[in-house]
Amino acid sequence: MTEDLQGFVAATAPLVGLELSPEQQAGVAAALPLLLAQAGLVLTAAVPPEIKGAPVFVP
Amino acid sequence: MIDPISASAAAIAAAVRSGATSAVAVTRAHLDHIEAREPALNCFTTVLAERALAVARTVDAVVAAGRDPGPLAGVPFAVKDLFDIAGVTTLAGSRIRRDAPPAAQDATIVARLSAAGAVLLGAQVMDEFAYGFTTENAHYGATRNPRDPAHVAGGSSGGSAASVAAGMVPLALGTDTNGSIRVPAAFCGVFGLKPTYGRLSRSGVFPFVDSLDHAGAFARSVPDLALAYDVMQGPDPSDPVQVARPVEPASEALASGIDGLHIATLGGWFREGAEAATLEAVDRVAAALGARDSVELPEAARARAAAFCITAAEGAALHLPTLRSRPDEYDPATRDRLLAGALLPGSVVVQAQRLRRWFREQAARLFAQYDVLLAPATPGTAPLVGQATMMLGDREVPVRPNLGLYTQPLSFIGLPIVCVPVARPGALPLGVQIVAAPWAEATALRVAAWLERRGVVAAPVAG
Repeated sequence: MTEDLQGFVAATAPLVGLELSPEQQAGVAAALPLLLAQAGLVLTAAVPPEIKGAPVFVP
Repeated sequence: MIDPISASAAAIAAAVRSGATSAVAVTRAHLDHIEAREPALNCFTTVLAERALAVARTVDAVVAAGRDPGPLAGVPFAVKDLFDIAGVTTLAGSRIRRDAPPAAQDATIVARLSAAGAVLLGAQVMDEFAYGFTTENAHYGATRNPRDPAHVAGGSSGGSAASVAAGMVPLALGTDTNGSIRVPAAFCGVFGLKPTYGRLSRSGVFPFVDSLDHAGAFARSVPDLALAYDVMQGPDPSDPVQVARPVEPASEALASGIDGLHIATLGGWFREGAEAATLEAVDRVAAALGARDSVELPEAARARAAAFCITAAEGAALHLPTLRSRPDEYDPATRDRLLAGALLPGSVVVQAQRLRRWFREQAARLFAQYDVLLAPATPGTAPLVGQATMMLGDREVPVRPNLGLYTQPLSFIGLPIVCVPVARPGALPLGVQIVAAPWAEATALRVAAWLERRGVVAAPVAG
């Protein structure tokens, strides 16, 4: 799993202009599972379709 | 004669305005106290002794001339090191910004406090770029908790909260993106105010997550917090997020009591995993307020997750140029999370913003019934410096990402919150969030003041 993620980081980081050392790639790979777990919660939220994202948020 | 170190900001200002003491004497006393306590606590990145004494002399000259220096006459204060101070480089807790040029002018709310007669003493230690909850900074060291220096102060505004608890200053400014005022306020046992998103200007404040950043304050009493808040309010077109509302003073409402207020405790997510002592603290505050109802804010876990993702993605966007050019100058713990955020799909951020609007509606339904909601600030008391994991219920989890579990869902929708320190003699402090509807800071402060008058919450000088 970790090796897969490090491979993902190694492959994708240069595409957004990030040249990372192997140590940095490993650090990002270690940070990704928690972030992606949170992203999973967000993407599976049942938000009604009429709710739009707003460019400026007003409480 | 007042003791300047334990005196409230209001008492200091009254004494300076009446001539009972001088701003210079108050400033010198605090500078001496900082010098004595700083080696053990590490709250400051910069102490501005000469500037402070010069300002204090000006305040005294105004008094001597028979004029009024303002409601904060001679009151020392300090700011998290992401507020601009004219002539000083804003470090934002980083090594990267050491070679940035000095700020040309004070941040708007720093200038407003100064215009009210307050005396700025310095800039304070924080988590690197505000991305943390412990103020264990790889470049500037850990800020220690004045209630027990073996423990963290909390973060990211740790130096600010700790300095107020230690009596170094009676007032300090911090910022709160996901809990960075409320977590250190709870751990250090002081009062913290995170106003409504858009209430106070962030102009001249180094950003972290523009769509979540709030500026706020710490104090050892609710009247001091309200006094500072009132002075800092008002439109500022230079912050596009700041809402041009008129000043809505909170100080005058503090004595109103709680009659007529409907108060409930947040259940569900806001009680899961908390230590027994934390829940006892919330329940003690609820009992004192006569709050018997428990209500749920649905999908708080997903709201917290959305705040987590927006933070990573926006933080990454802000730092992408320096992540590309100077990655080795970041604390690896900061850099790796920002880099991970740079790889997050955009669909997550869009969905997180949609969830934010939906979640705001759920909170609005509760505020149609209740004026104030209560929640713990943190799962437990301050962890030890260097502590990597903690227990969340029966699960062992990493400390750093989990201290904001109960703060993140609420700042996500910009609600105004006062974090109050529950009096626990002989034990580390615990904080309770007094949560109000948008723009109802005065209500949250009014409840906090009522609790303070009855001794349910208190913030004495530590040590």
